[in-house]
Amino acid sequence: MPKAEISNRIRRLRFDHDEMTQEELANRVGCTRQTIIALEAGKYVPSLSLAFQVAKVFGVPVEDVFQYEE
Amino acid sequence: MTPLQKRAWLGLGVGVGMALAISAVFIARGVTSFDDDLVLRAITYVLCVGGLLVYAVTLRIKRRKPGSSEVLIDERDKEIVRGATMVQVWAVLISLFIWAIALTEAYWGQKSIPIIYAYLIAISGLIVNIVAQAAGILIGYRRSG
Repeated sequence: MPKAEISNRIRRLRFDHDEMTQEELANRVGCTRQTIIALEAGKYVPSLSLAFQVAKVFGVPVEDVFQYEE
Repeated sequence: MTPLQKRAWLGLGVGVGMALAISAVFIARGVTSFDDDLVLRAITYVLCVGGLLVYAVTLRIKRRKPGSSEVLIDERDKEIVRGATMVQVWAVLISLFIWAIALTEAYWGQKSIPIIYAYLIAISGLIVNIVAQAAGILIGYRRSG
């Protein structure tokens, strides 16, 4: 089975949303700032629930935030 | 550093501290005197219960900081704790096997094992449990950024 990776555009989307801080995003989606840091660095793959919450904060579909790459 | 990471460092400190303190007490007063030495037994129990209480107080972490929207523990932390539980289980199992093999080999001739080892196995199990969980959490954080 080929290794799949989930990349994301969270850093870009934060920048586009008035340079939202990692802390503000973390508070709005209900996670720690360290988890946002790990997400942006591609070191942590979020649950579906967290992925949808992040997308909702930015007002975009989840696939605009997270991309599945084989 | 997340509250869970701070707790892990504290757990590591408590575990290593307990191990050093109990080792020092046993070395100072002599392992074989445990049966007759009430002071040694009392010190050992106080160290174990004290260490456990300090650790237990830190176990409970609230989901959010009181009066703030800041999240203290989230899904990634919970995932790391689940991983650490496996490290904990294996570490305790391995320590029990080491005790069993070492004591069996050492006392095979006598066909009986001194009662002091029951205490030492319990104490070491407790310490290994605390240290392994802390180590598992810290390794988990290191792996997932």
